[in-house]
Amino acid sequence: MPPLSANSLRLAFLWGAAGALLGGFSLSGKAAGAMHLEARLLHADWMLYGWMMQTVFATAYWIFPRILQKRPAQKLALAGFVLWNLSLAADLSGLWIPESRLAASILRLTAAALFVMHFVPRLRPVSGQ
Amino acid sequence: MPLLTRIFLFSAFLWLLTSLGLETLDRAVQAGFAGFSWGGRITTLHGIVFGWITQTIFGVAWWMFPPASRENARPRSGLVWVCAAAVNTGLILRFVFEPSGLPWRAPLLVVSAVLQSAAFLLFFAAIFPRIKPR
Repeated sequence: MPPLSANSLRLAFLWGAAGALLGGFSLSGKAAGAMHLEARLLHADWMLYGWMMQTVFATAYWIFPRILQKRPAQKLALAGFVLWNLSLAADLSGLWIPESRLAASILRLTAAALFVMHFVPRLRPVSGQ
Repeated sequence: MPLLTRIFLFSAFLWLLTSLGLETLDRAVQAGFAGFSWGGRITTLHGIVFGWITQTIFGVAWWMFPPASRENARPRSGLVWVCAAAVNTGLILRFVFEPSGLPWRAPLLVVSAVLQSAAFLLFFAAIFPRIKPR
């Protein structure tokens, strides 16, 4: 497993653990009749983008076919993972600064574009197939 | 494929079918084809994302992630057994009590919340030593 995938998977599990705890509090709050909409939105963002999608990207970076035994454009992928995780932190600050939710979306969109630029050249048959 | 992986994946398929089945039932009610409404849109969503997707990730990660060491490829399996029990018990409680007005709903939803959160933390603790660059 390359270091970038390992670090990204560690972060994915951290976001997932934080999101699961937040979801647990939200469900407990619902049982008590309280609805914390902002906390539920943050729970959804962290579970979907922080946990599931980051796990997918980290695993794809690890296992997608390499080109001449190397992963091309590694800096694009590194920048994508950094921006992706910054966007998740920006989601948290959205609890206090609503405008940062827009910043989070812009960061995520930019990161996704970087991932696409990195991964598309690797979508190819493995040699010999 | 290890036994725990098979348990995660089999449970994941069951949650997929259960969630999609209940969602189909709800849409049949909306279209006037059925009289019993499930009414648990958020519940079925969690059946998909936690019961199906997350358990699939857990199962495949337990199977495919690099071994922790030559002597013990998959350490801390006890935590993962408890995790598998907690995921599925938590989801069963959620599916029974979240959309309903049954007695004991509030405390059992709290139990469900604790089990689902704990399941994630347990798997995290078990798999962390195996996430390492080569």
